[in-house]
Amino acid sequence: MVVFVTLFVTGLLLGSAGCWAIMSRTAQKAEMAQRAELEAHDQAQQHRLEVLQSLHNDQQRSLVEAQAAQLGAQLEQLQREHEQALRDVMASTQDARDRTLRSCEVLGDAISQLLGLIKTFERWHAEMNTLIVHNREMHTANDEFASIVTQVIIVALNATIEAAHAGEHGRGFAVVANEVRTLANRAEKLSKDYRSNLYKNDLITTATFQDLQAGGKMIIGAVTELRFLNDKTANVLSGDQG
Amino acid sequence: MISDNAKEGFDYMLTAAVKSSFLASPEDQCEVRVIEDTSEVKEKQVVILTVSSYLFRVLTLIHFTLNQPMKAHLASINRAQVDDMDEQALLDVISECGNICCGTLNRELGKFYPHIGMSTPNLLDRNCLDYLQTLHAGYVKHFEVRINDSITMHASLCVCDYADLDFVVDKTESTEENGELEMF
Repeated sequence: MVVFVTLFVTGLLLGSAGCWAIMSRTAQKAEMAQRAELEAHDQAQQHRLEVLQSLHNDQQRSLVEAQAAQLGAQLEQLQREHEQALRDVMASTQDARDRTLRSCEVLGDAISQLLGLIKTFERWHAEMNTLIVHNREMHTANDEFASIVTQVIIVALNATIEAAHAGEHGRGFAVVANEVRTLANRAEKLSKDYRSNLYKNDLITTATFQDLQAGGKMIIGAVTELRFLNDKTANVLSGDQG
Repeated sequence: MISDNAKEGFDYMLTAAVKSSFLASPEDQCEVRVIEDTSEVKEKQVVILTVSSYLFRVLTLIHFTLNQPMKAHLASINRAQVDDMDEQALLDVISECGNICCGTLNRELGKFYPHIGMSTPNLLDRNCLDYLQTLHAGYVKHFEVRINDSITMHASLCVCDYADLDFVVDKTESTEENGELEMF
């Protein structure tokens, strides 16, 4: 009985061990199979991912290339527009420069003609000298007149004295002599006034002429400065053109 | 109206111009002082010059008599002997001195008023001075000029203003070193 039990237990143990071994091997195989399946799955996933990545990259590249092409086209368009705008601006600048140069030429001619004013000032100068000479002649004539008047006064005085010596017969003559002296005194006063006016005239004429002359030089100076600036502008514009 | 600064400036500029224009040599001494009474002015002739702008005109009058000391001084300025110079030559010398004087004034005024011009000199009789008020001047000043204590002449400044005049002269600058002239 014992043997039987022992054999039974042993058999049971061996059976169990065998079953466990079989089950264990089966489990190992199943695990290995599962692992292999998982690996295969992973690899498949990996491959799919790579394919997808590659596809994505291709799409991205295509997109970028398309955008680049579009941008390039836009850039070319912009460049063409800018070149046209630049040509327009340059043409406009050239036109403005040409017009300014023409204006400079016109202004230069006008300034040259204006500088002919010098001849007018020279004419005034000559006329002023004529006036001064004329005034001098009037001074001389007036001095001579004053001298004659002085002589007339002396003569009238002498006549009055002679009339007094003649007594009753000289009474009428004394009246005439006295009248002549009165006239001579008035003439003397007139001569002095005339002399004063001549001096006043000398000063006013000379001061006015000098004012005209100096003013003329001021104008010539300003116009000359204007010509200098105009020439400078024309030179700069011509230089730019060259 | 002419401001006090401008009046002072005119006086200063004319004084400096006179001091630098009528000397025969650097050793010559020239003193200029303001006088109030024109009866002191007894010279017989006047050299007159004008500096003009559209704002004002300034008349400079140099009163002189061609006596022996003056003739000798003018001959000395001209580096010549008195006997070699006739009256017209002497008058030309004093006119040129007046021209230099007014040229200096013109240059100094040009620092404040760039657009100005100067006349050529003319000779007038001293009696004309009595009618200076007919020019309606806003400022008139008379100066006595003594050279080497032996020659006395006079100068007059007459400013006719047509606008407000105001400027301040820098008295630290020397006007004597400038030799630029406006020739006639």
